[in-house]
Amino acid sequence: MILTNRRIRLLYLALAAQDVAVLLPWLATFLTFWQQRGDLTAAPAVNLLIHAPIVAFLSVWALCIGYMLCADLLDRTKLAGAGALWARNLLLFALLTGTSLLLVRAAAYPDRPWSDLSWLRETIIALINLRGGVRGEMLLVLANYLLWLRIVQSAGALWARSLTFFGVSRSFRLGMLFALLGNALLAHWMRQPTATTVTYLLLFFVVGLTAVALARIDQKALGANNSSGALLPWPRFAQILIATLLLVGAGWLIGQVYTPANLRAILSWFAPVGRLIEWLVTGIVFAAFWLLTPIIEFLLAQLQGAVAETPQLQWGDQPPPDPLQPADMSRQMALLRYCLSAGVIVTALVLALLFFARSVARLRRSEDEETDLDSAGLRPGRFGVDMTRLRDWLALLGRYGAGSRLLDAVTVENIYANLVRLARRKGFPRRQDQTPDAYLPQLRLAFPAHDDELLAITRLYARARYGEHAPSAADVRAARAAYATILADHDTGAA
Amino acid sequence: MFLPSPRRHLDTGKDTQFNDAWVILALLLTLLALGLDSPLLTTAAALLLTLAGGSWLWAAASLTGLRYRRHFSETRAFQGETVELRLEVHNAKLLPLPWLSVRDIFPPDLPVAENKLDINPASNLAEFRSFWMVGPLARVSRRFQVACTVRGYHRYGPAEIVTGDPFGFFNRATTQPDSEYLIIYPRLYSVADLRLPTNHPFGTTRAPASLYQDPLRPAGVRPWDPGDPLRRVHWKASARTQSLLSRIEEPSEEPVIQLFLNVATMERHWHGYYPELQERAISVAGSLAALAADARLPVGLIANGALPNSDQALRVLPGRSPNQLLHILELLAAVTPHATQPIEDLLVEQAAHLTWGATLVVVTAIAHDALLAALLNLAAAGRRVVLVTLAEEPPRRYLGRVTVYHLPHLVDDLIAPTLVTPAASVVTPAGSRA
Repeated sequence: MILTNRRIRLLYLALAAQDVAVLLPWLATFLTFWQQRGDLTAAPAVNLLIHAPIVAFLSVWALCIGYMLCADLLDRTKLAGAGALWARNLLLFALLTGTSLLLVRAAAYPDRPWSDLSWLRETIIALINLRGGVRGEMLLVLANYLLWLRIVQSAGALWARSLTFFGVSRSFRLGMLFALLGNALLAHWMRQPTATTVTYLLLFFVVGLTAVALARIDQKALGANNSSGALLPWPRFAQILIATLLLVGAGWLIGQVYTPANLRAILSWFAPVGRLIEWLVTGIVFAAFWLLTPIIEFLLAQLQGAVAETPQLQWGDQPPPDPLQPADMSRQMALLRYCLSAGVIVTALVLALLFFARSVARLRRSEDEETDLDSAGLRPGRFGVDMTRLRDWLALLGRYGAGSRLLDAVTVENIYANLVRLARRKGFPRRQDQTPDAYLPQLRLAFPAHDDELLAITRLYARARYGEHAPSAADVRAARAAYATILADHDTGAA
Repeated sequence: MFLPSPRRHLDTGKDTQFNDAWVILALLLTLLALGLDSPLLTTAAALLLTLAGGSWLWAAASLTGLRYRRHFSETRAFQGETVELRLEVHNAKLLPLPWLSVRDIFPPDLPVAENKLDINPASNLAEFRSFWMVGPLARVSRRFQVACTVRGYHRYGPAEIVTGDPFGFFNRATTQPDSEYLIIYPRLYSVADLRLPTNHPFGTTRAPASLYQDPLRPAGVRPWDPGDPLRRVHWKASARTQSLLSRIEEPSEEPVIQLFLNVATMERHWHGYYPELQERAISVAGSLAALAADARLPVGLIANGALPNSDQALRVLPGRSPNQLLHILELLAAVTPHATQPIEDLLVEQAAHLTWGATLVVVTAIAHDALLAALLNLAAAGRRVVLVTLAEEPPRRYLGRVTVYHLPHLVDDLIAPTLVTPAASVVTPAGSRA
């Protein structure tokens, strides 16, 4: 859960801001590119992105938070039945489509009255009619898709994003490279003001470093099993934020002095040394050429002799091909553009399919979590997981026979698997080498007010999984009640 | 030159994200900025360098003015009591510490309420890991409850402190060697628990010989009797009271209790020991010392165990100091479980140095023949000897003038169950004690 997980809520928000700070320069670059080519639909968005970068950043960040809330609510919705996964995916797809259209409406057609739906027709044409080339609407839809992708990855429900320090710091470093490249393209390719790109860069560093600091603190706190367990106090967070701002501010101030002009001025002090080096290098190169010239001339003569002995290429009866005419070039360019557009659409579709296929795989993997975790050795493939699951079922069948005892044992295992999944979403995953007893302290951290319930479920699970006697019906009822209690608090965000 | 460089390896234990690539990237950006005349790239390079430099400075200063302390509400306690442990971190500088990890070494036998100790199987020491966030010029403390479950001289520390900049670029670690000690006395039995005779717990003693009195040890004054020699008159007191008074002097021989503790629980002490049985013997020794102190008898302790980091037997000569019992209990708290020499050897060796009237009280969990022979010899030589044994069986031979107390009720719960077979033969599991 994103916003109900109080421990890492700030980290989620900072990561979302970091993603936004990476995305916006790229979006501004491509929208400016299409605007310069005459596509004026995205002009309002370009205007916002170039001339009010902070407002654009805050707006898109707020949009992200809204998306996170939607993903959060979707994740908490208890969709039951065989089609639950597809229903969830359909809902996600509907959200993706709806928000994309709204984004296009707000960014590309802000002046149209709300009763005028012509923008919808134009948008659909822009998306499906590729003969006119890629338009701004498509870029906005693509940007929205990327935002959703990152948000759902961060949601931790189906697409668990690594929230460890190394995961976040790696994300920061990669994001830094992307932000540098995006801003450099915006400044040098699109010739946009340096102030805008520097603002985006500073924003990235502020939110990225804040995310790294939060992940660092979280990592160290989790590593100490005797930390007080308190949430990050606001004064401490304020200290981190102030420190980040001071550091980035100092970097920006140094950047005001550390300019190409000043660097050149400093380097000019060493001009005599440079000239000496230049003279030396020139002399060395000249000497090398002087020494190598006879050898090169010899090799050239040999090469010319070999070429002279090669027979001419014969066309036979056919005339040689005509050089390309302008009309053919135009036709081929149109074909190329069409292929390019089709390629973009196919790529987008493949990405969307991969997106949903990945969700299915993650969900199945989370369902198989217990099987995966308790199986020793290398990670098995899909077939291996199924075989392991079948073997476990047969083992249970052999132990308890076909009947209510088997059902009780399976129920207890399912309850425990659900508990582990909830804890994983809260940032307390179960390692492969952890026994139920060893994992119990982390469960207690994940659900701090439910020690008795967690102990009861863990003991029942260990008995059902490794013991000889199946849990009784009363035990299963107790486990269900304990799980319901935990789930109720979890849903209300109190856990 | 074609051998792989030893520096080129993947450091899986690396806990920070800084490496040379940050500086190289900054230099490349600078060169690119010079080529493209780009203030954006120079700003990015400046940001990278500032970030690396600022983080390094932060980490370098993070340990300055940092103190980690442990405070016990009591440094001495009896078994079963609970002591409050207060851990305190003081950051005496303006720079805040967003994270601070402390790995403190705790005794593995003393649990900390509601907290977990990680036992290191290699060192058999427990690690107490805690996490702190300390603001500028701030002092943070946390309280824990330590259950005093095991007798001993328990050491807390040293502590390893790790901190660094908040962005995970650099770490700084230091070891604070200071240690604190928590002394947990052995459990003391009451006279009723010991089931010793209340009148003469250390055996019947002859009346103090008043025939010989020590003029150097005045005990008081009394009215002069006509039979008193003049040298006994206390002239100053007589002048003050205007009546003749005689001095009362203590006898030159007085009852002195010298406890001998045998920490061995097997006849051959190098074979090992039964910890619980040893604890009971130590508790009995401590209880007898308390009993003697209550009766205002000078009491001392000699044991064939040693103090930690020492190989010398414990030796406290009898005394009547108010702190004598405390001193004995502290030694009993710290005594190591391994015997330095057989108790009979120690007994014979030390008895020669003790005053003639001293009562030698030997507390042991085993009563083997060599010990009994040594006791008989001492008794035959005129020493007053008391044997307090926790062995399963009392001595089978009559020990004459040696007073013997057999206290099997104190170790009843330690005797392993016995399997009685249908053929009425008794099978005893290996090692008769649990």
